[in-house]
Amino acid sequence: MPRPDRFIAAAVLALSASPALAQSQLDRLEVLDERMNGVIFAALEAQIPALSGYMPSLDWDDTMRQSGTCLLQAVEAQTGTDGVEQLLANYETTVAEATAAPGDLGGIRLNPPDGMATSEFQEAYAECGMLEWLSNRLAESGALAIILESSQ
Amino acid sequence: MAGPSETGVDARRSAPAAQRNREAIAREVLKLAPERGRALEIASGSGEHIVRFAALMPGLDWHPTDPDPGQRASIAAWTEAEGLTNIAPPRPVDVSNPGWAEQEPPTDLVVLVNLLHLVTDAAAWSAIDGIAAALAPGGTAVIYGPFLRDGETTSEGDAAFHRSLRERDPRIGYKDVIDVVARAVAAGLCHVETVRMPANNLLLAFAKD
Repeated sequence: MPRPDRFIAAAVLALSASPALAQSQLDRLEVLDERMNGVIFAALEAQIPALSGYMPSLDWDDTMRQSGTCLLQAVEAQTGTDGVEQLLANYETTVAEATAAPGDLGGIRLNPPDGMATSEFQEAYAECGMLEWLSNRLAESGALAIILESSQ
Repeated sequence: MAGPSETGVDARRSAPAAQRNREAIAREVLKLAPERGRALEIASGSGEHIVRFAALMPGLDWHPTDPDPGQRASIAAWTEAEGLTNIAPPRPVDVSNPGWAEQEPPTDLVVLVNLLHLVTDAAAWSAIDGIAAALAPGGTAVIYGPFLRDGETTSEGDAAFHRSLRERDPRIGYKDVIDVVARAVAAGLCHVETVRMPANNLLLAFAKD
């Protein structure tokens, strides 16, 4: 999946160009995203036990930090620094709830801050490469073959 | 909506792909579907799939949807032409709008055929989130279409189609099957099976506990 250059270019500049976007906010997003995907992968493994050992590492690398910066920058541009704080608070609530009931996710939903529509947030999430990074990790993991083998 | 017998105008549309794949899809849906209940089809298109499903699974009340008025006219015309009484009038549901499922009653079966590759990632995830929200406990979701596998298409034809979609809009195109499975799991669904279908397509089945 190609990543729109305009978002990434903005992301590369974001930390230096935007003093309001603190490194600590990116660090929080990193921790939350790793935990969130960890819960999802654990649920996937619980449903398809053969996946055990095949799920990829969720540790962020430089590429993902650029994507995370891009996402926070998009949120900040639309909702301000308070919006970024609200997004992270929403994320913390979502992760806490998901972690508390890992066997019964019941639908993980990451709510955008006030002033940003869900569709706008989802577009930014995708266009900043947050999904692409995870896709690439999954593609490298061999998990797909396990899923197809678990089929008819 | 008046059908062809009343107006002399036949609103039925026909998609060659739908004519080719609907029997194979219907056979798999039949294995997974409950005998009775409410069945929702997302993006029903011409209506050629849902009339086959409704004929094959008469115990279900089928609810077609499509945002396009021309497609809804086609669905209604196919329904009348086939004489099916277990298909409700088509409704203009657009699953790219987050929260689209909030107005849907609890549904026992949701079927989604050949949509995800035609929409953006965000719209695809909105569709999946909504499917999970619309399903009643114990309900089943069936998602059919072409998918990337480990980021790659699986035939020259798929590669060309994927490329043509990307050229039309770089935000759309084939989704990776494992991303779809992961998203469905994140939305609260359980992966039931992945069925290999003709023409390199896949049918993904999920359940809601």
